[in-house]
Amino acid sequence: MESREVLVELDRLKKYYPVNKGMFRHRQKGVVKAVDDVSLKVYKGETLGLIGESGCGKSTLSRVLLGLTEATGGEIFFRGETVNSQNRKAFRRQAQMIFQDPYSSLDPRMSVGRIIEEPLRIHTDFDRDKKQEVVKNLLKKVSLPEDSLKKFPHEFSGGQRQRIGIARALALNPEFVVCDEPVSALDVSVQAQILNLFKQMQKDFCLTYLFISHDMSVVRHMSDRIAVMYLGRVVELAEKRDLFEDTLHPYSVALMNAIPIPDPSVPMGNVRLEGELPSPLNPPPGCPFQTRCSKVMPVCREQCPALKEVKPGHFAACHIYDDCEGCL
Amino acid sequence: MKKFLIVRLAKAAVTVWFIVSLVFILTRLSGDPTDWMLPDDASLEARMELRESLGLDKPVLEQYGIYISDVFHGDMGKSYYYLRPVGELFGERAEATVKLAVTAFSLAILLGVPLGVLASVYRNTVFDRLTMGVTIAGYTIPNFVLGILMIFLFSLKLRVLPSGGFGEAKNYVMPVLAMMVGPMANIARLTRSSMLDVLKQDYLDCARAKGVVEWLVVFKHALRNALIPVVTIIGLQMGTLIGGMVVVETVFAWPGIGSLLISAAKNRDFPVVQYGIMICAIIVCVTNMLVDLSYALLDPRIRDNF
Amino acid sequence: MADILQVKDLKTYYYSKTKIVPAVDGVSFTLRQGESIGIVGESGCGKSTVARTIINLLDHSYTKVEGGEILFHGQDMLKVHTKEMNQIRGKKISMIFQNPLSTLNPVFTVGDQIGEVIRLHNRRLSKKEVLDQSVELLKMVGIPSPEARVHDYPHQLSGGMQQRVIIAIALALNPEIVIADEPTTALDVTIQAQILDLMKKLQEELQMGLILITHNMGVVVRMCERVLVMYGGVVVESGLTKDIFAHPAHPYTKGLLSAIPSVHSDKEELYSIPGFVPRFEHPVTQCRFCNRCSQAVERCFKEEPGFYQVGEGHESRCFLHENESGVRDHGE
Repeated sequence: MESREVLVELDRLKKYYPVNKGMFRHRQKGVVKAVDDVSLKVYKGETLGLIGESGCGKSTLSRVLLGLTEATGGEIFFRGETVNSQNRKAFRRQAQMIFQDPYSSLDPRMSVGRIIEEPLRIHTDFDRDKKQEVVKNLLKKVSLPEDSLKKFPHEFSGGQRQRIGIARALALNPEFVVCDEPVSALDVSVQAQILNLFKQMQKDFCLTYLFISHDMSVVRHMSDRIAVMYLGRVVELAEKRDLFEDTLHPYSVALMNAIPIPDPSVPMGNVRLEGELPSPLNPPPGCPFQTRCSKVMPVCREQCPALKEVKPGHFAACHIYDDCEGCL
Repeated sequence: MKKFLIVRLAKAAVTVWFIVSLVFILTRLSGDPTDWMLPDDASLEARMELRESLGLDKPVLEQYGIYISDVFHGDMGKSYYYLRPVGELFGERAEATVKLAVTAFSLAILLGVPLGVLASVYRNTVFDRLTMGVTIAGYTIPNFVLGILMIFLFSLKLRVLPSGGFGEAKNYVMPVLAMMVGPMANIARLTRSSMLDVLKQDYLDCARAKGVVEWLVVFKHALRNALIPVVTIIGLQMGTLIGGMVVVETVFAWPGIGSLLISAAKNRDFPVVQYGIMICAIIVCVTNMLVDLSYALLDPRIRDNF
Repeated sequence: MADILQVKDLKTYYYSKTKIVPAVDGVSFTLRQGESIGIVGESGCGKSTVARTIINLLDHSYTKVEGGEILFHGQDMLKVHTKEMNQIRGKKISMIFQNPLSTLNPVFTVGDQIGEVIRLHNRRLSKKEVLDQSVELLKMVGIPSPEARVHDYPHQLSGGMQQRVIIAIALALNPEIVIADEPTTALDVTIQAQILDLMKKLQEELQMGLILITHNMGVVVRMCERVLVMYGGVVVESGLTKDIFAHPAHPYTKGLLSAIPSVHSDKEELYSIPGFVPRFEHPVTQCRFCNRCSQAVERCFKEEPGFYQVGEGHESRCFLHENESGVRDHGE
């Protein structure tokens, strides 16, 4: 494991949003820590899954990572080098994004050919024929008919539009692709096609994915390792099998128990989360999960637990494992 | 809430002051009122004397200082033409204008909103198309054109309505119509489009699923949501209405503030123009404030932000 | 248990300028008292239209019920007058909607909106009594400090709390049937689990019939005794949940179930149904799934199959089962 090459590394990445209240009088009420001190390594060739419920910061994390919004603190390393204003454009070329909504992420007035070609126009100096060739190749890769080139996004179904989005993301032959809820808007039968396509593309283009979803079964199917986020923090990180079969963090346990399983022979888990996500505005000191945790201890109200390697390759941020030095 | 009111009042005061100052400068740029106050062959001395008595001989900046100080002492000046305090002049004519404006504005709202609601409920039917066609005409035809056309038809050809005058009910018909058609058309069109958005909302289905009868679904559940943008337009229409009032009063020889203002502007009767504009500015500012407050009444989501 | 709702050969079509879309094209099922039925399928399969037809929430400017009967205690709901319909809606049959925030009217308090349905069907109650009942209902659906929340506006509550309020509205008058259209699709998975627990508990306590419409197979398994699988406006398979999930018969159901990734095991590649849901036009004269079916034969393109019995109360609309059993007479 340790010998594998790290492609992307996040070091104590933070994104805080100031919150103003009042339509007529603006005053700062506090900050929302959308991403708080997240450190992650993404190894070359793997798929790192990111799961969490709405408001956990998984989408903000992806946006900060790709420079779509400025980080409040922390650093991003790509192939060991810090990403800064000088090399951001080169990084953007190597790191692409696929969005949730295949309807709104494609410009309705651009033909499919132009949509896929656009990154080539911005980042390369290919001539017309070369660009055409690349675009046609991509269409074939994502199994769209060649006559799609001149058509417009509204002429396609949701699944086909997501294929267009994938082709656009792959146009520059990137190494790293962030997939932000890429199948949430799709029906089950189409979702399976797109998930298979993602896996095929990973093989063909040697891609590394950061795969974000709220759907546990989709993340399990796609990922090698999975990180669980809660209120801006990573609370557990493990190989997928370890995460699902030897869940450590109380939040992850509740999450696993909540999944409705489409198999009547599997009994439903009975651990339930009480209450709701607390307001992310100025949370109390200590563990972000303390308000809903069934195993809360006095220390949880004082100190925020750090993400710690509890078992080999299996990290959790929970005080339960404070005295667990032996398991290392 | 209190703080909001204080801030808004302060902003309104600044706006009014700005408008008053602008008008003051513009009137001084428009020429010398003593030109028409004296006969053409009046001597230069007589002219100088009159200017001195009106305070027009001083530098503009000084005149402005005197004017602002007077305003703060409640002295709005005397009309050059009528030689009477402007407050008195406006007081006499306010009744006619307020009656006309209130009638026209209330009718515009009371007819415009239901028309818009019905057009949205019966969208794409003959009724909807007809209403929308008429309202397009309503707000594209300028009110003075409408006024003159009506005078031509009802007073000159059919001889059923008087072309001018004030006092009886029949005197009101044409001026009110001329003034309300534009705002009513605007309100109706906006109500319709706002309702069309609201009619798609799931909460109306939820109300229907509860067993709420359809007219209550429309007028209780939908309209209150649809009114929020309409209230904005109603506030904005206040400005249009004041502009319209000036024109319509002139066309129908209505003895109100509008016609007074027009003649004052023609005669370079500075104190009257300044006072009139100040009143209009205050009315518009107050209306806008009321609009903002009514948002909070209509929409609890905004109320939380006050 | 007595049959409370019988839907017989229901047809609801959408009309556009150029074509007629058979959104629901001959759906039949029976709901017994206290029973829960799931209607599952992908978007555009007609599952929501079935629900909206039953409770008469169709937009009649482009939809028309072309045929069939909806018998509620023997009375055809398609023939009752609006006034009568309004006495049934909310009191005997109520509905839970998908998106909690947009289902609550933003300008009325939670108490107003629960109180409205109580008062509509019992005009003699005083304001105080209505408020007390609303608080009681909020307590029943597990909202903390209901006396305070009853005066809140919807935007002041979280999504999960909003959905509880909607459940309170739907259950206010102890209806015989609750139709839930994707009730947890807009919610996070942990909140979804809470809401499903609540619905299941209340449904069993109050002995309501539940028609649950969803695309989520996991939700159906948790909530429903019987399932109808819809595709292209028709039911392609129906039966007990445990039978359908253990032995899916129709190729579409089989495909759908194997297209769902599992949280319990890992497979390299998912089975996927090729193509996408086509847009159907009336009249349909072939099996609706034939273009995507791996087992389709010539006959599937020429005529539409009827139902074949494949097990105890388990039917499938596919010629594959012809030799296993006899054709069931349509509409019985």
